[in-house]
Amino acid sequence: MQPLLETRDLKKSFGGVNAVDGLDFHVGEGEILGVIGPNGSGKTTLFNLVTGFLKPTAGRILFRGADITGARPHLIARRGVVRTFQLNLLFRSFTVRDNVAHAFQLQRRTGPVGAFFRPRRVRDEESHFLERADEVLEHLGMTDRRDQYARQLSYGWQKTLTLAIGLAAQPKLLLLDEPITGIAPTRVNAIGDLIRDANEQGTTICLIEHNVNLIMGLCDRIVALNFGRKMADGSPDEVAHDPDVVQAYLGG
Amino acid sequence: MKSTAMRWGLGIFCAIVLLRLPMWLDNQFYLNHIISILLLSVVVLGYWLIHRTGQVSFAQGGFLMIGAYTAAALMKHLDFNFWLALPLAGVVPAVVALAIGIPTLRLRGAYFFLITFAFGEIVRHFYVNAWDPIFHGWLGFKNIPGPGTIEIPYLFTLVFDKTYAGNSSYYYLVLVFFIVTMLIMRQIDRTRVGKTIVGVRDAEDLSEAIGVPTLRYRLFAFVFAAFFTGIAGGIYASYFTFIEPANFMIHHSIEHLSFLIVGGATSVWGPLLGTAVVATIGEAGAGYGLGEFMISGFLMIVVVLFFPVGIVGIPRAIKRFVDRRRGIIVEDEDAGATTA
Repeated sequence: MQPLLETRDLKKSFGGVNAVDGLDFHVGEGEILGVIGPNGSGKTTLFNLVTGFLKPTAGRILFRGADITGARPHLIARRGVVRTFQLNLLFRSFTVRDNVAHAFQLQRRTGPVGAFFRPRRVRDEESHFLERADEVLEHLGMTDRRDQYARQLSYGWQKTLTLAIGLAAQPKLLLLDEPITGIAPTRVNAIGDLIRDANEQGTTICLIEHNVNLIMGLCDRIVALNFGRKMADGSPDEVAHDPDVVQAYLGG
Repeated sequence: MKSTAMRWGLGIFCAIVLLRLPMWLDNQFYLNHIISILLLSVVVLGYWLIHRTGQVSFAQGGFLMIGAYTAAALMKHLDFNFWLALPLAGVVPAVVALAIGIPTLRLRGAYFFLITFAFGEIVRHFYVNAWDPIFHGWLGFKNIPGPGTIEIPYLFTLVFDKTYAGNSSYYYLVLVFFIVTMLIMRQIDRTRVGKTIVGVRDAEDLSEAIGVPTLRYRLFAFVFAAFFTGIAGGIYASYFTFIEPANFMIHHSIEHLSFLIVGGATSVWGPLLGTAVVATIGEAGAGYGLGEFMISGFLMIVVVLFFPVGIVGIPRAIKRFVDRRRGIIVEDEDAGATTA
């Protein structure tokens, strides 16, 4: 598989601590990649570096062969790399439906000046996005919560909504930071199915997750990090039986 | 159909009231008060737009001053026509806003606030100390000219002078300016641009992550607000014919912000309401020896304690209260929101 995203000797240090320490990492086109590791092993820092929220101390990040090291987050998003956040970061004063419709930024064909005068073309686009938002929400089983404000939702539904925003953005690469933490156990499999569906429709997925069952069942490949370095890289089976991973993370 | 007819009726009624107001009032003091409210509302709308992006700017007093001084200097020293000086009174502060916005709007929360606070002070010190032959230090400008006469044959003639009729002309000028600003702000607020701006406020990182150039939206709000504030400054200079640095002290900026807090930032009507209420109560209280700043401060505390969304939220709060009494629970956008 040709790598969609690639990091070369990526480093990030905060003061004396190397959160990411010379990482060579890649995500192949079309795969579902899981990133695991103990707390503080550099998983979220890796996401922050790749999406431009942090600038690396050293190293390079390539997306489809182009150097995106240090670019601003919205420009990286425009290239097709979209992420979700560990905390439930949402447009809290928007309705659930508007949250999802707002995520279609990358597919907009009309500019802000057009939006001000709202000619027919802009109105058509807006209603088209609302319809598509409804489709996404139906797929996630949130239709009945469509008109609630995001801040009124319970933690689990807010988490689901962050996933809905990520999916609606239709990126080439979707980075999910703990997409099922806090979600009711009965719905975990449904979320897993959603992620798999999105992947089958052509979105490459990279997710951080502590739910070992989900990650083992869902991912094509797993990378385990520890102290900002790669501890293991391989199929779920290989990683699960790697002695270092068992010792540092999974427990024996 | 009925509501359309009612809307038109209400619109025509308001138009007649607004057009006839100077004739009915026939009182210099009240007319002056209304002109001040309309002009200040534009300044407060600037605060409002910036606040929508999640920032608090204290630079607006500085932009008002730059606008007023630009218009005055151009007309007094270079004999510019009022109608030529007025757009420049907006453009110059907008360019300054662009220059200071690019480096500072990346800063969040208190840092941006502090820098704009310092900027307002720097602007005043600049006009007091720099190029005395041009800006006349603490003396400012006297006898600033106005637009002269506007004559539209068979319709109306507006003479801008110091008579009551002249002030009525200023009233119409300020009214048109206010309405245009209000319509533009309202249009921004109700379209995707406003939605995106509120999105930047709600979740800046998420906005970036889905491809919104958040800095550009903040910059747009900051520059746009500076433009309208500057034009308000230009009209202010011409209307009062006399400006000096003491008109642009920091406590004026604080007062303008209190108008927004009292009025409420959740609706585009908040700035007008807050300005009208606080300025009117302040003016009334001045007769009893109460400083207007005391009153605006007191009102701000009362509103923040009891109506965190500001007085624009009161009708909806009443509706919610009644609904709850009837057992209907409706959450709306205001719930849990605050102005400050």
